[in-house]
Amino acid sequence: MAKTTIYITADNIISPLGFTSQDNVEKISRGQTGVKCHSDKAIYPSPVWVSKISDKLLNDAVRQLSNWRNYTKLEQLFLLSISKASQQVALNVSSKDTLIIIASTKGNINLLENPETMDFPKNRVQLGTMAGQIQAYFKNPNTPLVVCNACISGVLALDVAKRLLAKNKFKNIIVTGGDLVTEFTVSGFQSFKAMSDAPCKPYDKNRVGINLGEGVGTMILSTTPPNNKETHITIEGSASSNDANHISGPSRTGEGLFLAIKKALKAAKIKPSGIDYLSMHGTATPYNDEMECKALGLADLLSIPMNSFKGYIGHTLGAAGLIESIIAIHSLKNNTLYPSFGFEELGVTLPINVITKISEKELHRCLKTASGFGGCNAAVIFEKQTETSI
Amino acid sequence: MEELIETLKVQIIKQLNLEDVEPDEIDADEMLFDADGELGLDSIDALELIVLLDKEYGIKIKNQEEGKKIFHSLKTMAEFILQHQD
Amino acid sequence: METRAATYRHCEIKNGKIILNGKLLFEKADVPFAKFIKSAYKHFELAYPKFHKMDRLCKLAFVTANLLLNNQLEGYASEDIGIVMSNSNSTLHTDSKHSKSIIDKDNYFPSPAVFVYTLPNILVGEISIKYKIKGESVFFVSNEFNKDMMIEYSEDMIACGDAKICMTGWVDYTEADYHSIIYLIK
Repeated sequence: MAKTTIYITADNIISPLGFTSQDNVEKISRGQTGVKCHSDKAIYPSPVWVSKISDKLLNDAVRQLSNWRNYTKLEQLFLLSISKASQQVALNVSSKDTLIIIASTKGNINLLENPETMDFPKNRVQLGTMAGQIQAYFKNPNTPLVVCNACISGVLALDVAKRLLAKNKFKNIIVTGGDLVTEFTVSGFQSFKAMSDAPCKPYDKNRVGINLGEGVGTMILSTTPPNNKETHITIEGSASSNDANHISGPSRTGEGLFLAIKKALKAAKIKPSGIDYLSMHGTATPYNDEMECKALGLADLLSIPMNSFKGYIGHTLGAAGLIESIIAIHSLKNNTLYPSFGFEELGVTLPINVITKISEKELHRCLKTASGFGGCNAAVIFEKQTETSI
Repeated sequence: MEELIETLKVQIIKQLNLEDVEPDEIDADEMLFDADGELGLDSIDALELIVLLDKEYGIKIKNQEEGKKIFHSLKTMAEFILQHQD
Repeated sequence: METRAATYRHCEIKNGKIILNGKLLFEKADVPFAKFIKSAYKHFELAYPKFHKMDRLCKLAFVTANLLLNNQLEGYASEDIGIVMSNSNSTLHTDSKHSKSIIDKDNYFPSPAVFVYTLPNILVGEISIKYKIKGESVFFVSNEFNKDMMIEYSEDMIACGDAKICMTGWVDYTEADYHSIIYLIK
C-alpha cells in the first residue's frame, strides 16, 4: 500500500499569549509566559498559578461568531479556533470530505460544577453533545470524533486523523483540542499534590509540579499540499503505547514512552539521528520529567535539543498535544529553537539537552511526545519539506 | 496511642477501600507501603492518607516526600498525629 | 458488518446479565449495579484486590475484559495488543462524585483516588495493567456506539501492522444504566 502523505495546511492557537499561532510564537520568542497567580475563588479557595484566557479578550473575540451566546466558553474557543484555521486555506468545513476530530479531557465540565448558574442543557456536559454543537455550527455532515485520552488526547487525535486520511475516508480533517482551567481539574491536581506554587520549571532541579493552562489548538490535515507555499509540514509517523504499570504514577523506567517513540520512528522510517529537535511533554512534576529522560536515553535521543512549552502556557491537558505541536512546527518553519521556560539547572539523572537560549538552527524533523494518566504515551514526527527537497 | 491506632485502622480501611482487609489483620509496626506487603498500597493511597489526616485530624501535609516518613507504619502515623494535634 | 462483528468473540454486560458470544454466563437481576458487579467478581473468582478501589465504570470494564480475554492473549507480545474503546458518558458518575467533594468550601476534601477515575482511558489503563498490554490504544466518546466504525478502525490497525489483536468496544456507566460490550478482533 503506497504511503499517503499527510500535510498540515493550517493551524491556530488560542491561549493567554494570543489568539493566533503567530501571536503565541512571537510571545514565546520574547520569553513571555501566560502563567500567573490567580486569586479567584471560582477556581480554587486559595491562590493558584495557572495560565488562563482573559474573559474580556474572549468576549471581544467571540462577537465575530454568529449566535455566540448559544455556546459555552469552551465551545466558543473551538469555534473561533476552527474558523481562524480554516480561513487560512479557505477550507470548506461543510463538505462531506471534511471531518472534525476533537481532543478534550473534560469538555464542558464547568457546567457540572455550577448547574444553577448555567443556561445550558444538562447534556452539554457530554462530549458527544458538545461535539454536535461544533458540527452543527459549521454544517458539517459527518459526526465528529472525540478523543478523550487524558494528557495525550491531542497527539493521539493526530494519530487517529492520520489513520483515517491514509484510508482515503476524508480529504481534510480538522483536528482541534481544548480544555479549560476549572475548579474541577485544579482541585483534583491539588489533591495529587502535583501543582506548582510558582511558574513551573520542567526538567529543573527545583521543579515541584505543574501549572494548569487553558487553550485550544487546531490543525488542518490534508492529503493534498497547500497551494502557494514553498514549505510544507508533513506527519511522517505516529504511535501510542501503555506503560501497563500504574494508573497515575509515571513509569520509573520510561519503557512505555520509549516504545511509542520507537514505533513512531519506525513508521517514519527515520533513525534517532534524523531527529533535529524534541518537543517534549515536560510537565515539571519530579516523576514525569525523570521518566522522560529515561525514555530518551533508551531511544538514543539524549543529545537532541529539547524543550517543554509548559512554562509558557501551562499544561493545557487535551489541548497540550496540539498547541505544543503547532509551536514545534513553527519552530521547524522558522529554523529556531525556543528555550524551555523555567529551566535553570539540570534536575534529571541523564544528560538531556535542554534548550536554554533562543537560537537559529537548520531544522528538518521534530519528534513530539505526550504522556498521561492511565499510563498512556504518544509520539508523532513532523517533517519540513521544501520545494527543492520534494 | 493504642486507641488511636485502632481508630486509624478502621479509618484507613474505609478511606482506601480495602474491602478484603479486617482491622485485626493490620499490624501497628508493619510497613504500610512495602511493595511485597499484605496491603499493597500505592502512591494514590499515600495521597489519600494525606487527605485523611487533613479531614479527620486537621493536620496538613504539604508534599508526598513529607508523607513518606509519617506513613511508614500505623505506629509512626499515630505518633505524628499525637505530636501535631492541637 | 453485523455478521462480521458477530464472528468475533465478544462479551456483553447489561441488565444484570453477563453474556459471552451470545451465551448467558451469569445473571443477577434486580440488584443495584455495585452489588451485581461484586457478585460477578466473586462468582468468577477474579481475586484482584485492586478491583475494590476502581470506580464503577472501571469495574464494569474490568469484569467484561476478564471474561472476554480468558487466556485469549497467550502467544501475543504485549506491544502487539491494541485497545480501542468508547462510551457516551465518559466518567460522569465519578465526575459528580469529585464535584460534590468541592461544593462545600468548609468541607473541601477532593480525593485523589476519586479524581484519578475522572478520565475514561483509566479503564484502558486498568485492563492494561492486569494483562500487561502495552500496544496502541485510544478512547473515543460518542453519543451512540458506532460499532462499525470501531471494528473497522481496529481491523485497520491490525492490517497496518500496528497491532496483531485488538479489544474493541463500548463501556458506559451512569447512575441510571450501564452497558458494556467488548469484541476481540484478530
